[in-house]
Amino acid sequence: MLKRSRLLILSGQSGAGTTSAARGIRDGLGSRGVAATVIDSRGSEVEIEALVDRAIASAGLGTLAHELPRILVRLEGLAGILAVREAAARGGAILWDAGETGAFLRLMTLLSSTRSGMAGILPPLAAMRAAQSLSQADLAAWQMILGAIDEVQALLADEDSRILLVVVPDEGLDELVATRIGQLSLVRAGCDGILVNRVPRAGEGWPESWAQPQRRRVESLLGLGVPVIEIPQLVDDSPGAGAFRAAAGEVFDVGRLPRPLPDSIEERDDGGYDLHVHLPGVRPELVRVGRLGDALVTDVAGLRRQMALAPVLARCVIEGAGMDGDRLVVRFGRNRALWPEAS
Amino acid sequence: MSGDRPWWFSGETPGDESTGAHGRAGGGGFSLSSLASLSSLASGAQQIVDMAKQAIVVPHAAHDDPDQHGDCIICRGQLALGEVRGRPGGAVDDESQAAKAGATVQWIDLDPVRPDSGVPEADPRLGT
Repeated sequence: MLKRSRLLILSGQSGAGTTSAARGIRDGLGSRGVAATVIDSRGSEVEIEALVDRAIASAGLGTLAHELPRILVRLEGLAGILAVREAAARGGAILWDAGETGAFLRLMTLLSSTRSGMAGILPPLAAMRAAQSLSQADLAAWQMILGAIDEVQALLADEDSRILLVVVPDEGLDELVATRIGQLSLVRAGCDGILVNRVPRAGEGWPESWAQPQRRRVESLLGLGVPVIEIPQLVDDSPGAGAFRAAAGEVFDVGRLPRPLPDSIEERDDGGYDLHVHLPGVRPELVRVGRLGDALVTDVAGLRRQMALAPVLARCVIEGAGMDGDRLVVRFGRNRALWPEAS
Repeated sequence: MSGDRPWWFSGETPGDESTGAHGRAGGGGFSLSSLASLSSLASGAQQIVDMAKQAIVVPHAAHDDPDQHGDCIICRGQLALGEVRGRPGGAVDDESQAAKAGATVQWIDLDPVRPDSGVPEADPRLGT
């Protein structure tokens, strides 16, 4: 059944059951003859933290700068990136238990960020000084981390990777899912499927006054255009392992939905420019856009993506912006002070 | 299999229920010593710096008042800087004002949403 390595990323609400999902799906795939590996790197930050400490000491960084690399350590997915790279080299299916979606999104933001155009805070010299003072092993470790980031970026873009949200049918489910889908779109990723865990099915003895609203919340997701897989609440299966095991085939066969198109620039007849940012699945009311120096900041429900403006746009002023279908269109007009030939 | 279990492995392999999560005790550990040779060190260091910037500068961009964001190290740095500069006369100079403005996002009012553009389209491959 499995032709080549497939990466399934499971992320969701805290307590929604990503760990149970990963293990249950792995076992279910195993019974179908598909070798799958679960990775959960959330216990390995200690080693990375020690590595960062040595880098800080070598660089002689002051108190303020001391905290910068520590923020990187708090990005829980950094260890996960290393793990995914190792697992991919082993082949087979990979089930990445990426935990809470907020942390995963921060990781995705980091992965999708550009490497230029941002205001400086930590002088590059400090990092270079640190690099020159570190041991060979630590230097190699940093290189491994950086290399892994590049490789995992490529894996995420691969046709065989899937991102699945794991949620429970609590109040506010549709808002939560809409927000997360929009935020995934912002970081140039996408939600390929929604696993709704602990759904009380009709006729199985659950109190209807409690169960019916939960089933309605699941139904409310059906219009989002994303496959919804119900994981039933079973009386004798509290961690959900059996239910996830039974759903393994369906989860594994989920297709990959299209990812956002690259940004594009169109020149208007009046000499201005329109920047098109594809944001499929994003509710317009969740979007904000602003300018930070020569960068455009796009915000979806509190998650931000910052990208350096193309040189032609950096010489313009923003005249307005709005959502046109699934695209954010930002209108730029030439800044006369920077376009003398236009005046 | 447990003999070469990697540092990141979580859970049990089928038929091996005795090993716990993060099964590192019996595995190879997080070995940093057996890594590839060094290359492009400068670009690597720059990438680390960029990652730090992304983690700090972007969240800070929305912080208009440093006093309100004690958990942000840039805000704390601005306050510390302002304190040092403010000692002689107490006035904030143009340079620090400009620096603050440069680190603040200038948000744009979006056009009103048209009624027919508010609902994202379903993926056509889903067929419903």
